[in-house]
Amino acid sequence: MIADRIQLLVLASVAIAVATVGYLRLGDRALNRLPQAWARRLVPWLFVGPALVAVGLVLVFPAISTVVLSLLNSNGTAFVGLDNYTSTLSNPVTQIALRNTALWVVLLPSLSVLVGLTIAVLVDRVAYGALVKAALFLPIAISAVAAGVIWTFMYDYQPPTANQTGTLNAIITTVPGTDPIAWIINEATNNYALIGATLWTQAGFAMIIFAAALRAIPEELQEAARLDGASEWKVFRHVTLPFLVPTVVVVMTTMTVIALKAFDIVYVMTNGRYGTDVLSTVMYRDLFTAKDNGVAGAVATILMVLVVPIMVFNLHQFRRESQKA
Amino acid sequence: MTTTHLPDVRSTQATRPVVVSVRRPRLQRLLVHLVVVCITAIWLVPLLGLLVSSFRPAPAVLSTGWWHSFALPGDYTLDNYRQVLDHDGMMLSLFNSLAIVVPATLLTVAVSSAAAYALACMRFRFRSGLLLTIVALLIVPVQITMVPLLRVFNHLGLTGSFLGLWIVHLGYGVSFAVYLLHNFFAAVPRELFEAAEMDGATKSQIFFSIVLPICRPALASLAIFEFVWTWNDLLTALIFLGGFRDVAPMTVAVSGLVASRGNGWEVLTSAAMLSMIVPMVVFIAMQKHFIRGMLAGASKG
Amino acid sequence: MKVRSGALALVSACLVVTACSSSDSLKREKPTAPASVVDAAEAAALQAAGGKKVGGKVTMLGVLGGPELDAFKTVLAPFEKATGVDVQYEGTRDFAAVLQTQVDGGNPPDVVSTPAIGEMSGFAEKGELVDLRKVVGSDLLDANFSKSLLDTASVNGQVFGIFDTVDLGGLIWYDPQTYKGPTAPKSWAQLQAWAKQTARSGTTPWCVGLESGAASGWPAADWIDEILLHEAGPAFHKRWQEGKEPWTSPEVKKAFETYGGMVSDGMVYGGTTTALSTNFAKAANPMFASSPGCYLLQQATFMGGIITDGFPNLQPAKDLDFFPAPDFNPDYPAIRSVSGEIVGMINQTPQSVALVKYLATREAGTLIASTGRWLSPNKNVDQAIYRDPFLKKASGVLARAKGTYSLGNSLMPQTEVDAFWQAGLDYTKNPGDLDAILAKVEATR
Repeated sequence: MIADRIQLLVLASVAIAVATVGYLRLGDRALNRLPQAWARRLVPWLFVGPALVAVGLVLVFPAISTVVLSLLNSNGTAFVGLDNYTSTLSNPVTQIALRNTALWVVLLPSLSVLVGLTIAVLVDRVAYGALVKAALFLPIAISAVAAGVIWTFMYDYQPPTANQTGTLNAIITTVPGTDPIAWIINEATNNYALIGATLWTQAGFAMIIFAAALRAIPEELQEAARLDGASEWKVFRHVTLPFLVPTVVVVMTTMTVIALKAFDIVYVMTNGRYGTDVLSTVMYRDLFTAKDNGVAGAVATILMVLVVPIMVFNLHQFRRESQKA
Repeated sequence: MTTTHLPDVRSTQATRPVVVSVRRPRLQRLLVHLVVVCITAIWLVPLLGLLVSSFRPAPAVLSTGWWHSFALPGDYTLDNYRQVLDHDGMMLSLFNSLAIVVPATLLTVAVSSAAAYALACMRFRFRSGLLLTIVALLIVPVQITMVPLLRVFNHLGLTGSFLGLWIVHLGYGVSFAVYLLHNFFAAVPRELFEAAEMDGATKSQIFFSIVLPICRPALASLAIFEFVWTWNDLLTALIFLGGFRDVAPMTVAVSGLVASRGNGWEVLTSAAMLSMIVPMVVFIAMQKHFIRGMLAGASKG
Repeated sequence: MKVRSGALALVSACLVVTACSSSDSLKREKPTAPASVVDAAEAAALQAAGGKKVGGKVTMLGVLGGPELDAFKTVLAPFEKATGVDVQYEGTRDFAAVLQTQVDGGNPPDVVSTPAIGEMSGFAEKGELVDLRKVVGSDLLDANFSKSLLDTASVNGQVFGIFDTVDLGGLIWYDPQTYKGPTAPKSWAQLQAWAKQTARSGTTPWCVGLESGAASGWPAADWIDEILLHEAGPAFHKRWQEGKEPWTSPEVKKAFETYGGMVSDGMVYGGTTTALSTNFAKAANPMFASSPGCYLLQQATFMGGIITDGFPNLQPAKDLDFFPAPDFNPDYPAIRSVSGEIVGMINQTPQSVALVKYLATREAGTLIASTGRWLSPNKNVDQAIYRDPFLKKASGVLARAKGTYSLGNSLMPQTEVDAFWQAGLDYTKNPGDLDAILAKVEATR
């Protein structure tokens, strides 16, 4: 069996490599036999074609059927117009989820850019850079369930009279007179606790993208600025940062989408209880607990609509870039 | 032709001066260390907790904090690891995971780099609209895609097969992959391939011999993300491989170690440590592609 | 291969370190069924398959994992051996989501096993489940299962599930070394009188843990459910479960308040915040501290195994024991609640029919009992097969019961169950809001 798997892995990998090169090379050559105007028009589609087929099947088709379902009743037998939308939006549970999702969208992208960028910029200046990178990378290599276990250790609560078994409470109770905090139960802290746990799993992602982007910056420009006597901060602010703007947009957008879709940590740690619901947990319950495809579809559609403003912002960014180019 | 550029790129690379700023004041350096050490500590403490807990007997994990084990050293055990490794079929599931993840990652990188190249470097109708649509699809929640997909897959006989899972992961990954790569490809200086085009190189030649080599850091980081995300996927595997024990990846096998009411989760500590090994190896293997700043030198030309 | 040899190296390194081996001896040995029981099960399996090795496979979706699943597999093993059928069991705690998706996607498992009977009856009403009276046969069902268990998993006169495992609910666990209160209280009032006296002397009597990840709150719901059964009686309890009595009725309110008398600051270890934050599996920990933080824990039979997993040195009966819930209302004495998993069939194949028939036999039921994890639902199982002291005692309690009933929350639709769990948490946190909390659950009906 194991030998079969290894064989499959190797064969599939080779096949993918050969197919990719073959498809593009031969396709390109074939299209170039056509009149030049045609070739110019068709070659881009040769390159984007496979990606379009993949997203078309796996994302677009289900997304469209979800929008359709959102206009039907719970088992999809009758058209109900926008009833599912009005009913879910007037539900206090959805309203709390919208409020929390907004909090996620504000905090998660900004904090992960802050941490990721800081570490990516500074890591080369310390001798223990490899350790720092590993520390930020490892959490993204951990599954959501395992991350839930780890953060249960971190946020665990014991009564003030007992020994604290949660790391965070053990730290704060070393200050005399401080009582432990029930991070997950307390509504003043729980949303931040969940966002913090997610930040822990995602900041490494931002760091890696920034690290890759930093490699793309001409070192000469930074050196020239330094020779002109600019301080490190000024070099960063006026030379490095402008180069990074497109990457910041990419990371911000991706993190915003991750924040909008936040599910795993919330589901594992609270399942939306104590006022921690987010849109995805509401959708999940509508889908699998209430088994109401209509309302679940409406929540999913609301989620998908929320991405529009971010895309408008990205459109501006693309336009600005192509003008520069 | 195109190849003549590459040696240039590499040679400027080799002569790049090592940046050592002597003028940086001591206070500033101290501040840098302070910030880096603080963030690293915050990120390491939970990991340390996991590592230590994975070597503690289950009763101890349930009753005291992990740092208490330092007070009574010797109270460590490999039981948690043995429980995972001795589990029937755990080795097979490791290779199932690899057989799912490696091709899925390669497929995603291949398909999305081709698309990103066209979207970043070619001019054609609907280009922005297409790019924007692909990126916007990032938002589609995984949970709602499953039932429609499963129906299609049943029709095509893809359920319970690795091929089906590769396609699903490709679909989930492409959106982000195109977005990320587009950003990097767009930053490649035009002059590099305009010259090659003048010499009559086709788009695919430019793609394979200029764009991909130059953007290796971006491809490496993308490969890492795709690898890690697919590696940790549980739900998709549960749904699309449904019930077929022989093809279950490690995430499914590991989740089967926890009892129905969630008790016995201590075993997840060792499982998490073990399942981090492979992504860590990939990360280290990819590291060298980050260090070579190919583009940095290239832009000089 | 490489990883395996690495593991071997780790293990062998461990053998040198004496500390590692210490915990091994503490592991509870795996109970194995007597050879005669296994042989009988193999014969029964062969008969269930029509006397021939049918081969092929059955896919089975369930919730079990870890040692539970290992135990359940010992029940499946004779079937696999005798019939040549490969049972591919997949256990997931996302059972509802996975099953729903696979059914909607047209790729369901052949057989399912779950404690959420209400969920299954939903599928049965939609016609997704096979009527077991038709495929397994009424003779076998009526001969081996009590009417109440069959009725529990029936809808419109069709049996959509048979119990494969049973837990006895409403047990009060205690440490005989430290607990000095009544061990056979005549009434809940008598037990609470002792608890209140203990509370006055400065020690909290009750250990409570309501956290359970995505399913947090179920321990509260189970207990309130149990209290309602005892206080308001089985007839009311049934009407309430069926939706004929509202959540806002005085009986339900009283059950919540009775529960509240147990879970309140001063009565519960660490106060309500601790009860809400503590994982149910860790709830008994303070009972075994050098100076106990609490003395009593309410939970079903399975808690014995969970506690001894956490404290492997405990001797059953000597260091850990239970007594059944006392009577809450003299009108309804000695009634007991049971919960458990039911097996249902989605795809009718020769293999799936053989498996369900096999699980309905006395021989398979005997194997369930001999795993030392569950009570057997099969009424013909010889009680002497129980070797686990807790199960032995529990089966005695069941035998003496004046009536056994299923908990309401295992039979309700999942939305209502979720709201019930949530209500248990909300009431624990803010007992003053009871009316609003109950109205919220009522709204999910």
